[in-house]
Amino acid sequence: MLFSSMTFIWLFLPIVFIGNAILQRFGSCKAANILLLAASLFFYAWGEPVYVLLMLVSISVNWMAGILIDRFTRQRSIVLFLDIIINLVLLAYFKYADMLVETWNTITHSDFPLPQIALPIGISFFTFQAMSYVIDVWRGECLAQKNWADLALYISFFPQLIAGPIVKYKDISEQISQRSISAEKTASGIRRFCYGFSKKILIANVLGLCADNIYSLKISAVSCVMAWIACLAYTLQIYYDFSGYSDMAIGLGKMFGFDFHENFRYPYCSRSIREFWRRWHISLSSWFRDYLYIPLGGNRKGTARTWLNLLIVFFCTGIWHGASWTFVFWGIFHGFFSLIERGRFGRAISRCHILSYIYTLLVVMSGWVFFRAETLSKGFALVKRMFLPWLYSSTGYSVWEFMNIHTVLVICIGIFGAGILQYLASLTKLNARWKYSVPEMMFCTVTFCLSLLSLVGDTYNPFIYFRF
Amino acid sequence: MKTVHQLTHAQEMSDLPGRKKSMAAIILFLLLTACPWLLWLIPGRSVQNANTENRNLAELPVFSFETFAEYPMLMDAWLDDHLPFRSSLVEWNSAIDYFLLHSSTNELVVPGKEGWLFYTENHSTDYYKGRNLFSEKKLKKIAQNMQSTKDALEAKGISFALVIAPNRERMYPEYLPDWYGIPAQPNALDQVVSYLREHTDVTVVSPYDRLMAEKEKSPETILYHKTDTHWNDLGAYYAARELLDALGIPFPVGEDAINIEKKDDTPGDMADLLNLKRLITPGETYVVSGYQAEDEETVEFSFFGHIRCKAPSRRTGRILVARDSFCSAMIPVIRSIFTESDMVHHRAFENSLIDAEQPDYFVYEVVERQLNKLLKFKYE
Repeated sequence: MLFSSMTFIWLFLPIVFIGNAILQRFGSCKAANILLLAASLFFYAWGEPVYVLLMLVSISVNWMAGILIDRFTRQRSIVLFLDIIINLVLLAYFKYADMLVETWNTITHSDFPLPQIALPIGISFFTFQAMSYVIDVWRGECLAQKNWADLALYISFFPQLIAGPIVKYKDISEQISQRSISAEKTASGIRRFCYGFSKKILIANVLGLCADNIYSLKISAVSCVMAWIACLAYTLQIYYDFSGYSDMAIGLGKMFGFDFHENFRYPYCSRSIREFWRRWHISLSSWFRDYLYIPLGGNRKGTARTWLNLLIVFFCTGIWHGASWTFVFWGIFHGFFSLIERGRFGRAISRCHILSYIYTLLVVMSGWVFFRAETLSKGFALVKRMFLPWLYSSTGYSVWEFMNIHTVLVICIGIFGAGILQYLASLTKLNARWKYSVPEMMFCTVTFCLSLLSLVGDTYNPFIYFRF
Repeated sequence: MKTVHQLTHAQEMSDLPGRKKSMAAIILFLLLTACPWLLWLIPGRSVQNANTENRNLAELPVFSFETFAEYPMLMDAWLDDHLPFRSSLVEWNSAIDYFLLHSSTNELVVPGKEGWLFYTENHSTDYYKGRNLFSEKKLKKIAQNMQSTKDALEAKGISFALVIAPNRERMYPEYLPDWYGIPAQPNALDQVVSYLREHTDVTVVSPYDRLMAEKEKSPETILYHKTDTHWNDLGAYYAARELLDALGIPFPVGEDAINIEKKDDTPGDMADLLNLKRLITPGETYVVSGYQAEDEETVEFSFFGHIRCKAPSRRTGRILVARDSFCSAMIPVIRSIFTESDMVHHRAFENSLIDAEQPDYFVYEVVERQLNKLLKFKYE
């Protein structure tokens, strides 16, 4: 089930919300947890009726690992090792099997058939979340959860199950057993949810259409202008889609009494790639920092080792996002710039504010081209078109075939809403007056309604001639 | 180490809305998420919910353990097709885009000038911009198909004609958005018509020239619908006259007997694609009369099957037409002129019908944006 579906908005959410509110008010936290767990499993099963069993297996394996680590202190490292192996093997099998076989075939000129295993939605998120729990138990940073249901709720909680943020168990363990909801916190959550919902529907979906249309063209049809429009559209789409989902997750969390960490902090306002990664998908970068970079030695073992550790982390960051070499390239691309920023280059760039903003945006936007392209060669071809405009001026296609006034309006809103508007509002203290004001409530209501209209509009699937 | 819950609690209490605003927000949220279904259950409601999508809406799935894996997807489809107030909400969504932003919620529809709506499927834009020209090999293939068809039919005493209806964009480029530019030269329509005329002796009827001449004679008389991809009855009348001329069939009445009457048009297929039939002004169309046979009648009407007509008083002969939707507006003329006519939609047409019906005339009619069909059609 997706947040941006009518089944979720008009059926699942109001039923679970009202049920939880009743149980919290007249029942107990425990009863509410049972409802939320059942709802979360139902939520996942709706989209993955078979793979919900996989998630249950994953939860059980990690729950057992936590208990064993807690009980058998001498064998705890072996248990941890086995647990990590099991999690990574599951992830590798379901997510990377095709990529591995295809790569093997390319290198060895073989012709092994691709396994074509369907990818369970959210497997990267819930696997990482589960591993973080077991590692934290091993480190002694939290106690093992003896109650299977409570751990299952942590791993499968529907607000953050499909698209994060990746929540650490130690940040949420107390809230599982004791939390309260209040009208004020609920309203705060609703507000956050509305912003996220509107970002996803009114901005990300619209720009996604534009980007998809241009990216689906054969490369000879793509001019310089089209390549830039597609790049800009996708840059905004992925931010508003991802941060929108995080907003919805954080908002839903509050509505049910939970507090999650922020996952995005206006990443396109960064002045370096290193800063970008402190603002973009914060939960993922902090996961890799805590569970990969620091255990590898971080920056404590000399320059060469630091560079290697960083490249490993960025390689893993890339491949975590998808089973394709384009994602790996994107990760290494970011890793490269992170590395060179540690030296003279970084110091030079940081001297000029404007230059540093432009540099960071160009690197990030160029990186997204590879992230989105189906193949590396198409990615390079698109980037060539962006930066060598005199070679690719006209192709017989007009950009207006792939966008309209609505798209232009959304692009403008998207650019301003990615940090510029918020910065200007903070200068004039408008943001403090706006938050929780009546005009803001009206704004959220209007954008929520427009989003609903858009979602319902998407269900309209007419044909010019009757389709039997 | 403090959890985020503890760290933010103190800040949180000072960073929350007031009680009244909170309750208002919660009530508003529940109204927008929980209430639609409740309102839908109120008896006696009057909501517009006609099926305007030209497809069968999803049926309510029945749960079974054998098909449980597909159940959520089928249920989602049913819910999506049967949401409360769906038709109205779709209409409002389309209206916001169309009337406020002059944009379309459907990728297949491009809003033009002065209320015109244009179609983009079947590579219509490519045909307009000349981006899908046929290769020499494909032109040869089309020529071979048409010539073989003509020769085989001629051997059986059947006259053959190919009719190609021009796309609406080509006829009315002045109503297209400026970014379309001028119609490309060369283009696939001209390619096919001139190649066939040069390399075959097939009778090729391309009403484009006649329609442009009529348009130039009387620019305010529109020959295509504004909110529908097809030509109107007047445009189709001129096209049918071209066909009759090409087949050497005299028109039963003189020009002074023809009466052309203007009337309000109805919203067409483009308006349907946006679900804006109720809100869009479709412009005008025409009714052509004065040539009809007194005894003409439609014997069978199936839009995707056969449309059989007869006019016994006409001694013209029998015609079989393999048609698409553009032939619909030509029916009044064909019905009036031929003793018997059978116009069969491409979906239902088979070559064996020609052998079964043994017409005097066989016409293959196709619209410009589906010229690719000529690569496949052949009668031997």
